[in-house]
Amino acid sequence: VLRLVGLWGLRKGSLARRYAVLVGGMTLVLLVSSGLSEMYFGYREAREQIATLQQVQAIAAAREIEQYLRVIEDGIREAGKFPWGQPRYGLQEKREEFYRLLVLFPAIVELRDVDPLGFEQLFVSRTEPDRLGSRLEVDSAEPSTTLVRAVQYGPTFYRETADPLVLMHVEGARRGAHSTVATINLRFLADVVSGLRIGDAGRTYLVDSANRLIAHPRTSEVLRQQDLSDFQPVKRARRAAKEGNTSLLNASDTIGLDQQPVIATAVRLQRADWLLFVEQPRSEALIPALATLTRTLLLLAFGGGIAAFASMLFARRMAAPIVALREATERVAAGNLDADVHVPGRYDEIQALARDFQHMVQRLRESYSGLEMQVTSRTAELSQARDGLQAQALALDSLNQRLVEQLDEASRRKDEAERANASKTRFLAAASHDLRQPMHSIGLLVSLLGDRMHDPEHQALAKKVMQSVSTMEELFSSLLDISKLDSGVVHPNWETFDVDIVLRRIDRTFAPQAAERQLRFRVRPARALVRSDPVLLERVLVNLVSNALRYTATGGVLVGCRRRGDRLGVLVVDTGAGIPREHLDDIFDEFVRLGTTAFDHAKGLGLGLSIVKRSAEILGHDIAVRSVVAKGSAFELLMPRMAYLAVTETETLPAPDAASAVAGAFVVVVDDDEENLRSMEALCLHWGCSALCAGSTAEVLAALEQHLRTPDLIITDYRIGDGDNGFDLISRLRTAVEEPVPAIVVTADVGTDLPLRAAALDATLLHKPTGSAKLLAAMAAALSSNGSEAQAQPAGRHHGLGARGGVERSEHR
Amino acid sequence: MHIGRMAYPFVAALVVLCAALAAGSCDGWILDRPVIAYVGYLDAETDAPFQRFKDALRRGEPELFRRARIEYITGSDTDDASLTRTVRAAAQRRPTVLVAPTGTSAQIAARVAGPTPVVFAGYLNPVRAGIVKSMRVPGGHITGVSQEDWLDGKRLEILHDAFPSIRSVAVLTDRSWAEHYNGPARITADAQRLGIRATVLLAQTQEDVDELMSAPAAALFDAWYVPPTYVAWLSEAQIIRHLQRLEVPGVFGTTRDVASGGHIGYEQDTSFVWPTVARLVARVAAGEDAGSIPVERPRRYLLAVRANAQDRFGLISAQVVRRADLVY
Repeated sequence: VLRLVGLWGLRKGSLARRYAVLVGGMTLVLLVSSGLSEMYFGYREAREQIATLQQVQAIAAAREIEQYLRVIEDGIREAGKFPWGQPRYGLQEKREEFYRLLVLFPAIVELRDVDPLGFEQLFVSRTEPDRLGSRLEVDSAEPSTTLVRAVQYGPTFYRETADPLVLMHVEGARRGAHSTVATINLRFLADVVSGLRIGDAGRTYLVDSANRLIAHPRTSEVLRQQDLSDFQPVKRARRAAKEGNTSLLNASDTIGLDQQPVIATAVRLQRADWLLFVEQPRSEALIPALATLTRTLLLLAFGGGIAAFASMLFARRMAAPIVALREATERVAAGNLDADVHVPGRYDEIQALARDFQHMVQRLRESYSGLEMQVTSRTAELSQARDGLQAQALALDSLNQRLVEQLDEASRRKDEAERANASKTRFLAAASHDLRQPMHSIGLLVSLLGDRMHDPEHQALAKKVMQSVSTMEELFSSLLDISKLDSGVVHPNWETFDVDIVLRRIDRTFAPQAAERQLRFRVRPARALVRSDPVLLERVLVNLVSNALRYTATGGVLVGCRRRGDRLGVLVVDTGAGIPREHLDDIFDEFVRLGTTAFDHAKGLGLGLSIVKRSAEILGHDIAVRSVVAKGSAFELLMPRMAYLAVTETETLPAPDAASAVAGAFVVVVDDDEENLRSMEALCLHWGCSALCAGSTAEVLAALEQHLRTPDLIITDYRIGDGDNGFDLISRLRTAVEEPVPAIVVTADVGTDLPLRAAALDATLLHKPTGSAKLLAAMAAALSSNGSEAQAQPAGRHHGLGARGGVERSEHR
Repeated sequence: MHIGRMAYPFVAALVVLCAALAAGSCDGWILDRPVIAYVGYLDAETDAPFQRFKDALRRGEPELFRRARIEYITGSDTDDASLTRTVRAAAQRRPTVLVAPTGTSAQIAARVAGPTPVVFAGYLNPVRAGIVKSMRVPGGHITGVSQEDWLDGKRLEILHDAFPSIRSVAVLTDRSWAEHYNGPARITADAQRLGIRATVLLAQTQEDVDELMSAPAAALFDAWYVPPTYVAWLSEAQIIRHLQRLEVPGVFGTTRDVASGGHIGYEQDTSFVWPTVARLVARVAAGEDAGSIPVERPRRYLLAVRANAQDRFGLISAQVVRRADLVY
């Protein structure tokens, strides 16, 4: 269909297609509307014509039938005009007149002359012998008995012949004259109804008052004696007649006698209560209407085709200049400014549009030429700028190269410095380890020696030796601390705690020393929560206070706190010699000592403030110094202050008498150094302990088999020869005795994993050199923790805030 | 070549169309060609009723006459058993319709034709003869035209009106009339009512007719009444010759006898019979059930007289001539 209407040449969505669809569609709509209305009204007119025609046919048929009957009536009535009963007008003459009627009217089967009393005087028949003067009383069962007035028709009846018969009663011409009753064979009406042509297949039929078919073009239909009371058209006609309607059935769509759809019309015969029907098959009756419909459809199709074709041509012609314009704009859009826009043969707005568009292209072309020149100029400028930038980029590359080389050099130097620093740290660690071993032995032996000397002079000497040893231990400890701080193994353990706990410990630690030197020492209590590591903080404060006491000859030392915004400043103020301004930046370096007093030279090592500085840096606390020569100094450590909350005081309770705590304990001592081993054995015996000493793991296991008692404490060196170490020894001994025996590991190593391993075994880790007092305290603590193991956590899990020389448990920061 | 290729579909379509038309033609002319079997007693050429049937078929149903094959089957008019075999054999060939033109053949066909449709014509009362169940709905597969005739009294009356001096009448008929219609009793009663003496003479063959009418006693009758029987139809010419020889009037059961020389004829319209039979045959051939088609009867009555006939009773009365439908 699209091909036929020419839409194949139009792209979908194109303007021409839209025009074609719009114009063609509107035309088709108009055509279809017109055609439909034409068909509708044509159909209506055809139905009206059918109705009119059928009405005329029915009325004509009814008149013809009535005319047929009226002729018979007239004949009989004419015969009654003779002066019957007079001379020469007897029965014989009347018989001959009746025979004349029989000859004239074949439908008359019988004629009967009835006197006014209802007796038959003459009977003439086509089939039976005649009766003259019979004076038979007319059979009361005969329908005619009730018909004694004027010309009337009785009901239809049948005899053996099955022909429908009806009695026609014709009253005499004069009053009191005989009447004539004629028996009419209604089959002769078939000649009338069959002579009425209703199309090719239409027919006319007659129904009597009892709704029986009495006349039909086909005789056999009448012979069936059909009762049509239930026949739909008859019912409708009877109902209409009863309602008094003049139009009984007027071109109604109904079912015919052949049970086919028909259009039927019915009229009522006035002479008798008969109905005459005219019916015609719908298919035949509507042929003119269908022809009109078909013709209209054909015209519609033809007109639609013409309209589609014309709309196509119109649309193409109308859209052609617009399409040409669009193609031109497409070429311009593609950059072809030489495109020519020309719409020939038009002198309308399209032509004007094309002309304007041509001007616009011309202007564009000119603008484009100017733009090209500008672009060329700008391009040249940009090229020059680009060359300059390239030169600058080369210079920058050179500078960058040098910078990279310098950075590499700086990095290399930094690596060298770090390596040197690490080397120094390793050296310090190794040196302190190697020096600690003999110092440890010296300390133990001098202590034992001092206890055994009774001569006061000897004891004084031993005491001096012990003081020297203590100074060296302090030196080594300081060096070890700096070494650990520099090696990065120390990590703060952040807690929120009451700073007053630390201050009280400081007070208890240094109050005796200050009193000994007759200095005033005051620690002002402060209730403030700070965020810091209590152990490192205490170490810092210990060094600051120790330093202050060391450099104060008269006066005193004050420790107190002051709020600094959201921070808390812990102040250590002394009345010492003070620090010259030019040395304020040097006092935190290693081995820097100020002042010239013998006292200071003997005590100071120059490491305390270095440890303070490193520890404060690890904690992130700022430290400030103010000092006036000959007046004193003030160190302030600033730390984050927290909102105050009730904090359980966890200060370590004063230790009980350590010697009594360890007395009687069975102690296993293992050290591959024979001298250390004997020193430890002597100390244990001195403190009242039973000691089992061995140089290796195998030896101590073998020795334990000789004892029935389970050890109460294990003291072992970390390195015990043969690749063994103290932690393995503890595990094997505990396995052997099947009890978690408390243990102390003494080592000169500074490995970062040692505290973790000690914590894993719930053992106490002591670093050499270890004084006898520290060792005794550790032993007491280990034994006491074992005794209260069921009630308390291992001591290593409490805050180990002991001052230097106190017990350090699980120092794993 | 291009034209040839383009023409190929049209040629193919034309061939298919011709084939379809040929099939349709075969369907109408050959495959469904109806067969009408007519049971007669003579031969097709000399059987006047058969010729009238064909003529009626040609006139009334030309389409059927053109398509149908009409077979004439000769049966015996004297041997009922032989006629029965003939009718049965004809029915077994399953013609489209079997035409039985007499009362006897109709009785036999109704009995032996089975499902083969039968259209009959005859003077017997079809209900009483057992041919149909009723005139309105025949039943079985049979219908037809009944010429049942009860006009004997009327004919005697017409004879008496035509020749009032007649006192004796010979009734020439056959046994079938006598038995089926109770003819002798009825005709005697009707004659007595008219003051006439009626004598019934039975004849079955033409020889019987010759013998009866040639006998000396035949001259004793004032007139003759010949009811419409088979023997009367068969001996029509002989009877008329004998009446002319005897110079006595005769009244016949058909108007055809008057045309052949008889004096008076009164009949039911026999011209109605063969067109009606032809129409019924066409309806049955079109597929309508014969048993549902009512039996038809003639509706007209015809009186024919020969006005110029001279015999020993003189001319026919004028009043009868006035009644006549046909005057010779």
